[in-house]
Amino acid sequence: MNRNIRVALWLVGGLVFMGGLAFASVPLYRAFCNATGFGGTTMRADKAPKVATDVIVRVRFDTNTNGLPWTFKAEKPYQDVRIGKTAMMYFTVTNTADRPVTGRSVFNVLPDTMGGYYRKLQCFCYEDQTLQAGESKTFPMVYFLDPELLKNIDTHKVRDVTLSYTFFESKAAKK
Amino acid sequence: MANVAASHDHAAHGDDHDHKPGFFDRWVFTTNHKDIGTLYLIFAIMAGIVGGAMSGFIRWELAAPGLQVFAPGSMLDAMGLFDVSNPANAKHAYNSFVTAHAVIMIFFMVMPAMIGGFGNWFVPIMIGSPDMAFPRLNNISFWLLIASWILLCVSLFVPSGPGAGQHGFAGGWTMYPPMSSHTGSPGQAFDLIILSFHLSGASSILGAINFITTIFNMRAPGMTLHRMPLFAWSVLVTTFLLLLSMPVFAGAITMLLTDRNFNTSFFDAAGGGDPVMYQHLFWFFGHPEVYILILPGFGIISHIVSTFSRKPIFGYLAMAYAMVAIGVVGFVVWAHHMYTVGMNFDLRAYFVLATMVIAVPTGVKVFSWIATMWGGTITFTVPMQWAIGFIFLFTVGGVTGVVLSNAAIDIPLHDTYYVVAHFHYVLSLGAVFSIFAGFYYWYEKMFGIKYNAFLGTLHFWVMFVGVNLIFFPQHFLGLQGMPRRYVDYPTGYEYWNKISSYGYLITVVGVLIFLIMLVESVIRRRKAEANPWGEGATTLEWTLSSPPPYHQFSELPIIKDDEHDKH
Repeated sequence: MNRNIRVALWLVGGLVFMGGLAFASVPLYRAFCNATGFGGTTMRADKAPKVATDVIVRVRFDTNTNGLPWTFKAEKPYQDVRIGKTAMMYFTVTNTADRPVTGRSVFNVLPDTMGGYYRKLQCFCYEDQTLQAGESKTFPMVYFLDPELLKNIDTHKVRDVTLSYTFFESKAAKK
Repeated sequence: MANVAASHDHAAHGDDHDHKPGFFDRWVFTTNHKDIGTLYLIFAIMAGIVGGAMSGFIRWELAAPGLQVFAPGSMLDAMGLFDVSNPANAKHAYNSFVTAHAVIMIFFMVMPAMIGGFGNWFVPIMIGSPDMAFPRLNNISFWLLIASWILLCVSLFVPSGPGAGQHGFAGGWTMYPPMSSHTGSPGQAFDLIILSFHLSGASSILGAINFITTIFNMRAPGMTLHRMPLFAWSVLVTTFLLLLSMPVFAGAITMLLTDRNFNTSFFDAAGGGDPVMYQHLFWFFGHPEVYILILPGFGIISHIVSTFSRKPIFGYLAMAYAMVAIGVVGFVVWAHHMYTVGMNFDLRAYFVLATMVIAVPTGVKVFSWIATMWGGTITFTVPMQWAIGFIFLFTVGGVTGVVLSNAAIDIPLHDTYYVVAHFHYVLSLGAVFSIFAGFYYWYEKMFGIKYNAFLGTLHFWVMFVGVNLIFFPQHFLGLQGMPRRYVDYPTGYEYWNKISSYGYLITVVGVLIFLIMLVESVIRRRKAEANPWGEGATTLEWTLSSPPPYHQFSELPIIKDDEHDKH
């Protein structure tokens, strides 16, 4: 093979690799966020910790809808919880339109650094929820704050956490 | 010549080495690196005038508070090309001008001039090669860029939205979603921009493959990498940056394209995507891109400073590897463009540190240029004036860059005119001054005629005063908090904006002097010398006639030890 072609093929290989990396960045980023809680990704957990601490954190709930005719409310605007203790909050969504609408919720935690320590045992996120005309539904969310947060320099002084939920119209259902 | 000529069609006609094909064959189908370089230079001058005219409308609008140019009943309205019939559309038109100005200057002026123009012209000659490794690929690179340019121009007149009559994409050259997603720009203007970038990206990548292969495989005997002139080194590093960053950019804009048209959710929170991820992908390309714009300029300046100090460049190897270091570190600093997105403290601390590290190899370069001049026999020819101007302006831009690299300082200065002043000092002044320096350095060599040195000097001084007057006051505006990308501002910012717009007028005079210089030299046709610069000009292009023969080095030059090896 011509040696110019050989060099060019190596370079095309590098090109394809970098292009692939751009697309692989989506699953890589997601895997990275799920593994580390980076950027406020909340973590799912299987079981609550055995010991609760005496440190109390105020967890605020922010609820929004974007582009769909729903009302979305938390039962209370905030909840004072002890770090490590399992807590529960109810959220109610009502479809105010006269037709069935499918929505999907996404959430985020502020401050960002708390994302990894806000652990959920049960939630209603990333799944399509269909509400009939005028229907109301109540969803529970069960969570706890991981006591590990007291060991992290970025989070050990945090006493205020906001969980923000947004319901979007489901893209899959819109089609 | 034998094995080289075999790749050229006209070799079959048994023509001698200086035979030139007819006009159409020569300029449209050309595979000659010098002709393609000339085409790139002409294209870059044309695009520079268009992009510069657009910035003229911006400065004219910002010369006073209120809406005057982008307003109903203005001269721009009378032209009828752009819809400025109501304030919302006028603001959109302003931002589409800002976007087009940036895109044109980056992708259609600086890159074609530096890499396509000077790179094509002088990399093969400097390494003692008869032509590029893939001459036809070279031709494709150029014409893809023309296609890309046409798509960009068309996009200015295609609906973008969200309102009716809002033409041309107005989301800035960074194209962040949701401005660039279907929500912010429902019209098809942005789809055209995406395709335009795909084509110019393909053009750049093909060019990069061509340059790297040429530099690796086609050096003359004895031309080791460590004897290779610094301009060839700079193009080698630049093309590697292109090769590794462009595909990521292509991926990011392809994701935008599918988000807009095929219902994917890469950057759409409603579907579980993340708009901040676009910023990461974009700046992973965008930061190497700014080095792509300046590195070839570093190479050019090294040659000029060395030539007119009559000394070999100080610290040749350090200069070469400083560029490599800038290129490598340039890939791991991207998030300093996005300190405000809510990264945690540790991450910001890392990006601050990594960004400041770049000041080290950059400092090596600046100090080596000064050390080259130190004790040299300096002649203040036209290219030398531009080169010294470059060193000064680039250093000013570098200093404000170090200021901005601090996350805590960047947050209040983010998206203010301080940032605008910073990147125009390194690009509009730095990169453009190095292009003019190279143009005046190689003009005789490329076109075989002499220019009027008085006009060149006048061009330099008028331009130097003009661009400083434009951009230095913008530091003050930024520190006072004036944000970028707005058509209007409170009256408190009026004074320095007015001064800045006066600076634009002076710069326009400078550009006119440049054009007069070109016309004068073409009319007078003073015959060029092979080496007008004397003993300081040591690279291979000065061993050839001016202009060089249509095909050079039918006998390959043998490169022996030179001063570089002694360091």
